[in-house]
Amino acid sequence: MIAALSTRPALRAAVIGAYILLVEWTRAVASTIPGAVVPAILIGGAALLVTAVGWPAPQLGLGTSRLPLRILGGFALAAVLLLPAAVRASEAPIIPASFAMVAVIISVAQEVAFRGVLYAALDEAGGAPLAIVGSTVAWTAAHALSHPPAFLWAVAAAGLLLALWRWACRDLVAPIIGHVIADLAL
Amino acid sequence: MKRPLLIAAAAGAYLVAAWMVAPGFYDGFGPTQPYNWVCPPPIAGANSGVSASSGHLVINVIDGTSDANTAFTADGQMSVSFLPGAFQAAGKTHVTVDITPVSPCPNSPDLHFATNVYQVTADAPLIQVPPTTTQCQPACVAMLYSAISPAPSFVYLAASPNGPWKNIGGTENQLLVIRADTNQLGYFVAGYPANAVNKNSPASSQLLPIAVAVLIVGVLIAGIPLAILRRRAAGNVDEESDEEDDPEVTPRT
Repeated sequence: MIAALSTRPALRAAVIGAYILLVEWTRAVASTIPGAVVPAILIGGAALLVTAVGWPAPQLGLGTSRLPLRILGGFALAAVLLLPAAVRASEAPIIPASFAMVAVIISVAQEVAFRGVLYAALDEAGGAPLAIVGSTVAWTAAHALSHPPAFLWAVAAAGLLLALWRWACRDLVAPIIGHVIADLAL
Repeated sequence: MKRPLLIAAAAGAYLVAAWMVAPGFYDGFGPTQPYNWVCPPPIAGANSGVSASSGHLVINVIDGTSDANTAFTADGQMSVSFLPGAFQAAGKTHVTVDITPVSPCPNSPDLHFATNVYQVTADAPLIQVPPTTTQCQPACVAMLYSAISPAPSFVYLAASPNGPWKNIGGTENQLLVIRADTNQLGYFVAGYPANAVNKNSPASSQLLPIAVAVLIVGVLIAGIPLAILRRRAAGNVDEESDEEDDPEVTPRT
């Protein structure tokens, strides 16, 4: 099985995608249980981060070269992600401070899993177009149980934006920073 | 098409998509639906346009013992759970429970209400049990509250919409939901004492536009020197060797 995964990129990408979706859907269902929100996020985040084991950091878009540009890109992505809510601030929920740490953990874990590992696996299997579209579709599907259908277009558009950044800049640091800031606010 | 243009187009598509589901993209932990106020507080602005919902439940009674069940409003903002045998239902075949948002909105000089007031009625009284450590004995209420108003500290119960309001406690083991056990039905609301200092100030919602403004200004201000440095570096270093050494980060055309 492991040999088949290592020699067949498409199969590996499919297994990684299925695993990530299973983790995210399980987390979404578990979060509906009173008192289980934080444990579900922590365990789910750890389960997502497991996917990065064995992947070289540069292949995931991680690195410290041109770090100021990466950080600046993260701030720019955060500004875009938060702009609609900022304009309508009176209607936007602010997450309690006690949830800040779990917000950071799940944001980092999701970026590593979707735009890091899954993107890299799909890129190997079918190139950048498949990586962009596939990671966006998986990202949207992962939110299907936690968000009403009307929100999924916005979720998909956010996933597409982050995936395009990952492709165009070969960078995951900015999507991580942007996602963390966005999740800390909402 | 140039890659920066693709990113800009995706950003535009996101802004349109997020704008259509006000107040925007949620990937955090807040509820994805705005709270349906009967009387929106000033901080909430105009109402969502959706009326607060009522709820109705018929609980079966077998051999005088009512089943366990949960009554909830259609919008999920208020629910009441009942343990088996929660009602004094001898001789009945079922018990009917209704939850109704109260309008006009009651007020109290001693309390700040953080939710709608809901009237919960049943055609049988709850059993009277002494306080125990058993959860939800014989019934418990769970009230969703809005994230834009200060979080409630307690659930209050009254026999009349005009009070007096009795504090029946409150625990929060789910985000934006406060729970309390009760052995009486009546009018329920979540809130906090009028003289309390709440840690979740509504002013926090004003931080978001400020934070986004700071991000935008920061990106613009920091981007100028970085762009200049980038342009100078591009003039000094052969671009091909630069790509081989460090093929990351900068969007390429």
